[in-house]
Amino acid sequence: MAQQLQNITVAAPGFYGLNTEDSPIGGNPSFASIADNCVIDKLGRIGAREGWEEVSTNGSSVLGTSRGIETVYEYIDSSGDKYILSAGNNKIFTGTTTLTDATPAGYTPTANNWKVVTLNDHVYLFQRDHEYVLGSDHEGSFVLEEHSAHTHATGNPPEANEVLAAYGRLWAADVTGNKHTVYWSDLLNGHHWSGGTSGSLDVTTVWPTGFDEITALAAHNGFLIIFGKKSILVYSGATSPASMTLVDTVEGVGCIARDSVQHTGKDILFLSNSGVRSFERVIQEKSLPMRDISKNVRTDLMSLVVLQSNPIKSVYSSDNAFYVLTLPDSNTAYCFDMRTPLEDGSQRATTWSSLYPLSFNVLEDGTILIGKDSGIVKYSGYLDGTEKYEMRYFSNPLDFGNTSNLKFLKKFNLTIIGGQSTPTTLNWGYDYAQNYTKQAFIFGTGTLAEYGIAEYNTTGEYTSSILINTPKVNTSGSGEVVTIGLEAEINDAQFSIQKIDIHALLGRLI
Amino acid sequence: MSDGLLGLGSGFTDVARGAADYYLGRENIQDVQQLGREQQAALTGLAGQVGEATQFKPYTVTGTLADVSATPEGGLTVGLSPEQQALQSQLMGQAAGLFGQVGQDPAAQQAAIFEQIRATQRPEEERQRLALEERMLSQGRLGLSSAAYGGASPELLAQETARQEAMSRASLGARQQALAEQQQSLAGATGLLGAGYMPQQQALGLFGAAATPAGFADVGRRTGAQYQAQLGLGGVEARTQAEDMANQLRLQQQRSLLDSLLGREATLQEQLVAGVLKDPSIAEGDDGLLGGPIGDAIGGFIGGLFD
Repeated sequence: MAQQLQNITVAAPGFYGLNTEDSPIGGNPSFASIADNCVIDKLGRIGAREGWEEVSTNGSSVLGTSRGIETVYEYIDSSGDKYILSAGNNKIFTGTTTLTDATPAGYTPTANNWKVVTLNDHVYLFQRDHEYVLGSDHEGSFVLEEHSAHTHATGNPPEANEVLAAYGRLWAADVTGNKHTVYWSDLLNGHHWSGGTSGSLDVTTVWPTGFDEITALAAHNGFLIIFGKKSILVYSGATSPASMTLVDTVEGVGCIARDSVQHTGKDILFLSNSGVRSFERVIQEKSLPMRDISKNVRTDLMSLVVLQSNPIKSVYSSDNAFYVLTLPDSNTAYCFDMRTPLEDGSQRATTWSSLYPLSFNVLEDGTILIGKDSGIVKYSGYLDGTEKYEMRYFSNPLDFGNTSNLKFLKKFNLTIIGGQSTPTTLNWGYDYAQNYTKQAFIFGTGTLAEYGIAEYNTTGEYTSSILINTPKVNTSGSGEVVTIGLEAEINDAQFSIQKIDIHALLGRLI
Repeated sequence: MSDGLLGLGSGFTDVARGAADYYLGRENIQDVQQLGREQQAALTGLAGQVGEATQFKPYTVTGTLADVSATPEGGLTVGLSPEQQALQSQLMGQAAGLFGQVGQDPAAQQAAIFEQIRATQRPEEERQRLALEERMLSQGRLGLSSAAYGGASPELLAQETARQEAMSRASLGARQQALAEQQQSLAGATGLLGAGYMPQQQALGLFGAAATPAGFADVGRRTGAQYQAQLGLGGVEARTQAEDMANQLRLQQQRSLLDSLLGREATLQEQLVAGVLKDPSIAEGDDGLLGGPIGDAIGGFIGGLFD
């Protein structure tokens, strides 16, 4: 006797992002095993990330054979003038469309891993074993000069790898040969490193583990946070450094990448040796509870992190509500959706490939600038330059809540939002095998209505502004668990997976 | 009277008289000179006796503290008993020690006292330092350095300031104490010095107490000498008078004898009486034994020799 088809709906598939940590059997079908070049869009769906558009036009000529733009920063002075600073090929550039070498005369950087901050109408660039460079347009035009060339500069500044502008002064740390001292400048004078209220703090005796090395600094909720590799120190009263005191320590968790530290407004995100972590805003509690942001991808993430020899960079975009951590030596970036944490406190994660970002910066208007080998680009559109890029989504093996029966897939009803002549391949397979059965589509063959090109009640046709594709695919085969996937070549159009309805027939017990 | 020597008759008697007078006068002079020499010798002897009698007789006062002896030259020898000598040596040694402290550089004493004061302060300072160190360690501030606080933290600067103030107070106190102790040493040394002299003073007091009885002996000795001198002088004077009288008597005796032999000139009284009585015979004197014919014969014989 024929059995009734069982309809299984995977609504907003991958809504929980990647999960490569938990056992897929019996797991939540909202997790994905692959979500590459994806983001969680504003409606909670798995969708394609945006691509990039060239901003600079002379990158190839000024960057030569270097890795590319490894530092990008937007400096806005007190009068509102904006300057984009970037660094690559051992030079410091200004400008966006045309990168202009603004390296101070006679100053020869040997690396491009700058940390750039703004303090009191000056911009400061620090990196390891380099005399810091500061810039301002006080003389009428923007000029960069090293500390020793600045007429108002005093003292011997540390050649620090990390710098933080907070509480009215610069804080610097991570000096070659001295990774246990935090230095701070005079109040409101980032170029005064002697006299005034400048000073230093040797935290050798403060590390809870007995030894650590400072990797990063952060200011959060009135605290100065000193990141070691395996521990964290939290100081209060940093507005008056001479009297600041230790209020909390975190043992076993630190920051291993200077540029992984990002402020989200209520959190600080950073990469630790156990994944991406965050501090939650302290309201009433004394201590700073931490969350494990990358809990669901920790093993994969950290297996790549240890391979990195070039600096790990990150960006937080409040407009896009994501935190992106790029692993340049692996051509991979992890994107964490920061809208709502999952029940376990982690954030939904996806990966980006084929973007190859070397650095990031979020401009005042929310635009994300990306430093690449070709120059400066911006996160925009749905093409990587002029090229299509592939979005991949694969579910974890699904047992549909019944682990002991065979499943016979009969039909997929897909609901895809967006797409514009987007070649898409539907994949399904059984029992963990990678030899998927494939079905190709081209989504978004209709013509999107464009405002102002036709008139109502004429012969023109009208559609919604976003194409909604609902293909139905008859499937075959059977197995205990089913893995489904979707591979789409993003072709200059948004692409999101709204829903996948799976019609399956439960078979005999195995 | 006769003619005398040139008259040859009476002249012989005159010559004889003159020779006799000369002889008698010389004898008398020699006697007086002899008497003078004898008196001088007697007085010299008396003076020596008196001098010897009045010479100072040294004496010694003996007590349990000391023996004090006067020397013939008028000096004084104080011989303390061994115990007193030891006591004096001890006191003098102590006084010398204190005087040595008085003579020291105040800065050296100040430094020594400063160290003593600081030694009492250091344990508490060390406890406070350790407490601060622990507090700063717990606050994560042990490695803090601020240019506004001289390269230290406010707590360390305050602690160091307090320590420096304590050191300053200790230094000032040490200075005052050093000077006060010098004053005390001076007073003590002076007292010990006076105490060290006390045995001698007591010995001299003992000697002074013995001066009265010694004075009695001296007075008796000097009075005896005075009497001896007076008696000696009286003896000398008596002899002088006796010798003088004997000389006059002998001179008178000899003159009488001479007058008897050679006559004599009228005395002044006889000449005055003869003038009053108008009897020249009274003023003729006596011819004596050889003034008469005998005298004349002798004179004539002698005169004939020269004829």
